[in-house]
Amino acid sequence: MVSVETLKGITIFRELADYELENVAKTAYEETYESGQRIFAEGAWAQRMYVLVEGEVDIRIRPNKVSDQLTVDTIREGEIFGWSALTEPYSLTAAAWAVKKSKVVVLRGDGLRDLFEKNNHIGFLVIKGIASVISSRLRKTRTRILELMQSHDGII
Amino acid sequence: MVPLDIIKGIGLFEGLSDHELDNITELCYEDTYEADERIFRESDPAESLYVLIEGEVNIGFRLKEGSERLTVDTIREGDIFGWSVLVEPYKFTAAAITAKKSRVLVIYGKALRNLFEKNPHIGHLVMREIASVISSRLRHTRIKLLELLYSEKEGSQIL
Repeated sequence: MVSVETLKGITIFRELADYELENVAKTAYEETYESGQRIFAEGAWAQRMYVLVEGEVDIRIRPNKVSDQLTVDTIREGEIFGWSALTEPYSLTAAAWAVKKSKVVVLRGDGLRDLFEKNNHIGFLVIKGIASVISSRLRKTRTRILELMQSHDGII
Repeated sequence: MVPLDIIKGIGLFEGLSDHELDNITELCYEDTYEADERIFRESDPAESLYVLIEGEVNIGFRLKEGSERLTVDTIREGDIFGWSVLVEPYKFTAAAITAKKSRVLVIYGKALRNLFEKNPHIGHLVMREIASVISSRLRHTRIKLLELLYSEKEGSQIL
């Protein structure tokens, strides 16, 4: 269990009332990872969503069976990752690695999903927040693609 | 307004009661587009959410003004697009161009957002579907990025 105060600082929970945050807190706990430690593997069953409280985490995907993993995104403090625990088909399509010593809030996917079913108001607000996070991550990824393609074209 | 039957068959609204679906039919109308017609442009303010009933639509963006459009996703029958209308800052992130003659269901975004506020049961179920659609779009886009990073690393030619 984490404190309501800790959850209050997290963007996706900012519209929730204190008593709603208390329910969310019951599904959450804290964990610490050393630099270089893997938080979850690509292809695993998504059971937990994470909020990075302190440190830095890379999201990596292996382009093919023989290649090393490549970093497609970097998670900064206050950002969430592993949201696949809340969106079907609940499978992790990338791996997460701590690149600095990192403190995370872990939210249990099944606990959170039950809570959303019981209290649709929480479900609606949190999922809306997550949709907005994924959407801005999408925009960021697209900008990186544009930059890479333009530098290949010799425009930059 | 469209008939209830059309709304009932759409995956996005699965789990909603007939009464809730009735609320949604009031916010919709049908529209048709010829092949190769633009439904919306990237960076346009997003006003409507779309469900493809019949046809095919490509989602893409241009690298720069006047360059060829890069297709990032293809929308098939039953799929939704234009979800930016439900996510701040309510601006389209890509353009939608019909690949075939297409029939679409158009849903007023602002009215839908108001309905979510009034009825969080609808809001939760529909936003959960939307999050899953955006998430799969991100997955496809990451794979495109991955191909670029990989070819850069291997020093081979891209595209």
